[in-house]
Amino acid sequence: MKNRASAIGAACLVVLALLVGPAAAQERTGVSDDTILIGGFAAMSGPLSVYANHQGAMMAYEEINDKGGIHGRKVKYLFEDTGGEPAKAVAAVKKLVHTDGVFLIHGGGAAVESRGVRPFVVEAKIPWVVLQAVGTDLARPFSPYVFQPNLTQHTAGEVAADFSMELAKNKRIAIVRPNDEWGREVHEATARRLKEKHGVEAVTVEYLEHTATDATAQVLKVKAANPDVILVFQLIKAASLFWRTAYDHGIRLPMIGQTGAMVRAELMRDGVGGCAPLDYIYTVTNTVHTVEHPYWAEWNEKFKKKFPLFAQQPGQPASTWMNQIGSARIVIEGLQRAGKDLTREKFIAALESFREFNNGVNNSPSTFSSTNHFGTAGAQVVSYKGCKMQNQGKFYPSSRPSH
Amino acid sequence: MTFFLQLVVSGLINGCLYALLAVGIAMIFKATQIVNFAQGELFMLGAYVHFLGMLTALRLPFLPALALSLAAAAVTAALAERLVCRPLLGAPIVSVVIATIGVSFILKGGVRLVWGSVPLPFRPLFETRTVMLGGLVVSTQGLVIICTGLGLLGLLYVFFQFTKLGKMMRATSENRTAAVLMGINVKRMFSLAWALSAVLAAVGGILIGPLVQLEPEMGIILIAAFAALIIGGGFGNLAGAAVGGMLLGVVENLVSGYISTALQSLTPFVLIVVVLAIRPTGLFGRGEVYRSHLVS
Amino acid sequence: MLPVTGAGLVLLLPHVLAPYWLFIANLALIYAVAAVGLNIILGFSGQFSLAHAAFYALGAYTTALLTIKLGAPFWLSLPAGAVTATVIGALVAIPALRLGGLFLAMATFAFNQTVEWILLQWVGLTSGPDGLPVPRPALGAFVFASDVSLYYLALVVASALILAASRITRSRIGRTLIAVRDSSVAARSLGVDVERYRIVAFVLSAFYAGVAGGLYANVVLFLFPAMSGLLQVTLFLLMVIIGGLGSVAGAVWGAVVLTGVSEVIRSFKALQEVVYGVLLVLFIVFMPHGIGPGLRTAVGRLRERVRSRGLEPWGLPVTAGKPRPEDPADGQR
Repeated sequence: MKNRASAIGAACLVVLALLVGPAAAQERTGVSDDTILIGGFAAMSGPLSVYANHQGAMMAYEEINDKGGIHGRKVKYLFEDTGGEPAKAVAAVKKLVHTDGVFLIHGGGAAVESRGVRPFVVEAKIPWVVLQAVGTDLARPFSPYVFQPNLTQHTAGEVAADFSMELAKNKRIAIVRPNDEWGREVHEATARRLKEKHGVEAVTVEYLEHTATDATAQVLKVKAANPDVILVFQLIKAASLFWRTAYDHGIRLPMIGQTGAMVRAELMRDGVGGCAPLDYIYTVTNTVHTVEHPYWAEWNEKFKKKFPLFAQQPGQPASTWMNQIGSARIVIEGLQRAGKDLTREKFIAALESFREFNNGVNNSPSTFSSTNHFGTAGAQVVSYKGCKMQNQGKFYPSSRPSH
Repeated sequence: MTFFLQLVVSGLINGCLYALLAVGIAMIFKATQIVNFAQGELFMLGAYVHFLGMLTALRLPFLPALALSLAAAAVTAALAERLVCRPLLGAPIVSVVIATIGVSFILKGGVRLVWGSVPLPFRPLFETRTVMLGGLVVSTQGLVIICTGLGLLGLLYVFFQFTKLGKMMRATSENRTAAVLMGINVKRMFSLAWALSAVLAAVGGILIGPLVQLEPEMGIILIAAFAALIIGGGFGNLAGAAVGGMLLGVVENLVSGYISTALQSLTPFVLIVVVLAIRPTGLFGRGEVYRSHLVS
Repeated sequence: MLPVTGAGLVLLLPHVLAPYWLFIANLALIYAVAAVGLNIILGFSGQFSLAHAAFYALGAYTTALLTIKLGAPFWLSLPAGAVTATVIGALVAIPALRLGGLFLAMATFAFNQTVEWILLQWVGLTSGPDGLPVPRPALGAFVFASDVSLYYLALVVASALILAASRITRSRIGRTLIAVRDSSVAARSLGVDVERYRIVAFVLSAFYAGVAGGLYANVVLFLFPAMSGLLQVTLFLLMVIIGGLGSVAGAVWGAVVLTGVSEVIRSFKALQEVVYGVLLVLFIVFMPHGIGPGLRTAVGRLRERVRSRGLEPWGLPVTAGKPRPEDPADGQR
């Protein structure tokens, strides 16, 4: 009985093996006469799926396809879910690389899953342009295959530090951050910038988790430290909780937030409970136009048409998919420059030829070189005075992260 | 002193939410011996149905939206009981626990599918943001949370002590066979326990809605509710659950206020370990440490 | 003959599978080790311990850190990780003896969270929330550079541990564990040192978790603090429940099925949480005692029907009575 059971089991495995296809993975380039296969991955399910919209990149590729494609080839964007888990993300990348045979990877939502796949992408020698994750570590140590075009936590932290020194008369800065890799990276970059450029150290650092339902202790401790400016490095949920509680406890100080998933002003208003607290809030942004700017009207229409169910969800359009359009345009420009005889080497060389390439979406033009694959070096600041989202206009350059 | 009191008051506000959830879990456990891991998702569902009923699709006024939300939570819970848990009567408890985790996946995934993952803020229900209570700043919504929470817990006490239905439910949890013999429809009592505890959870979700933003993940508060239950004295101890919840809320705030805010998220677990080290049955528990039917 | 064929097929698997599925097979082997270990404490000894994720993470981090910081070869770091998990398991087991049922579940869950918190905070050692990249395992000059070699590595370790588990559970220790689970009072009255056996189960399962963690470090090459979290232990629990409590083979099948299913439903994308939940609920409602007993009941029912058809050619209704689901307390037998 036992033997028969295990034999049946083994037979099942063999059938499965035959079903899932031959192992002999021949070298595939992902490029045919009429298509380029691009693979993407991010969490579309699970706790991290808030950062997972691939819709922006999808629309940008559709736009170029409608214009006739790149050198006559249409882009086919295959997207895999990771559930936010490194092991599932590695599986997703293996599927994209070995089973689908993609030409390049344009994916990565949250940092933890992206860090997990990095060694496998580097090993497979497939170019990887990070879609949405903001970690600097993704491009460290230097790999010829990994490009980080996004506003990294490094840059965001430096911009927040520089901007805060414009507002802080007594140079007293307080920092509030969550206890994760996202918070650690931005905190370290800010602290370094404050110290090296301005000779200042934060008067206090407090921790507030993403899932917190109360921020009283944090607000009281920040208040007791008597700062001029508070840097609130939080995603929108915990940030709103802190802003609201701070306002309720009589704090009327400039509070600078992180780019993250900052959303439309009416959602910000509801999050902090009215327009008055918004007068004190600033966030670092990497887009030229705010979510509410007419520039996005046409894209919003496209979005509604293409993703009707998604567009109905409250809070849409979120700023996340707008950034993806910028990132996809970098990929498209790279493919254009690589020419008709597309190879992975040519694509990498094409990206490395970027000098101040303006993708029309991001305020920091993209520059890559054969020794540095961090595209962004600087950002702008948005204010919310009178419940109006307003890009302050001034560009704050940052250092380019080193590998 | 103000610092201390301020922390205590805001801790009590949070504690009320923990208590509402914990008491709900205790009710289900008492009636059916099932630990409901989907309680946090009922909390989340209640908040979503209420606020989206009010603001987006239907534009209902506050009270009808409230009714809709409570009904939705109650029906969902009763369905889960009928379709998932009742067929599993007599199955290993671990299996039932896993089944309720399955229910929580369905609810969480369903909400994410319909309303997305972007955190949703809601306008406060009151014009005045805060009130001053003897030098302490208390948000109006916080005050409402404390009043509603304590009021509901009081009502629940009255219900179980003095109403016929409440007594029937208690009888069912004391001795199922005897209850059947006394002519009590035990199955209906099960459904009722689930529905009632879902209402408590949904009220919690609605109360916290204007303070934090809605997210499909907000059911994670369940962990705090479990901690409250353990601290209070076990999964079947309603009063202990209420007190444990309040206690946890206050201790969390005091730890982050006086020691470090980095410790806030660890507090429930340290508290569990400390309480169990001192009293293996929780602070207000009455024995029954071993339950042999748990696994087999 | 048949087992030989089966073994041959398992050995040949990496040459048949596409690289993506081979990686999944590696994961399934790792999870099988973890699930077998969890089943020892949960299914055989009846202690509702959730500390499995913590031991798994401790094994993984120890293995990785020994390799990274001290350059230890994996034949040293993998056992060292398992031993660390085992020792900590013994330390946790002693206070855990005082707790039973859901109290134990919650206390061990709190232990998980505490380990996760330490992994997050101790940035200097664990690189904290960033996660820890692990170099590929090497044996002397030979680097396990491909998933095929890793498959054989995982296969050797996993089959040794699975065989050992089925030996142990059939031995006197296993039988005593079951006796203690079913009635600690009766076992005690027969002179069994109940506490000792509870600790043995704890330590054994921690060892398995530690090995699984070490394998994970060598296969996935990236560790993160949430390995000691709620989701991870839920996953292990699911595997044990789906495979059937108190069955070594069941835990292996549970791990294989669940790892496979979660890949198959990948294409559902945003829908997959709901699909996963529905599958889970359906599975448990229809097979509350796991795959093995569930299938056996179903097959038995089918046979009964066929046989009764044969006996009653006129199609008269047969009241054979419902076949009773097998008692899970019997373990495998």
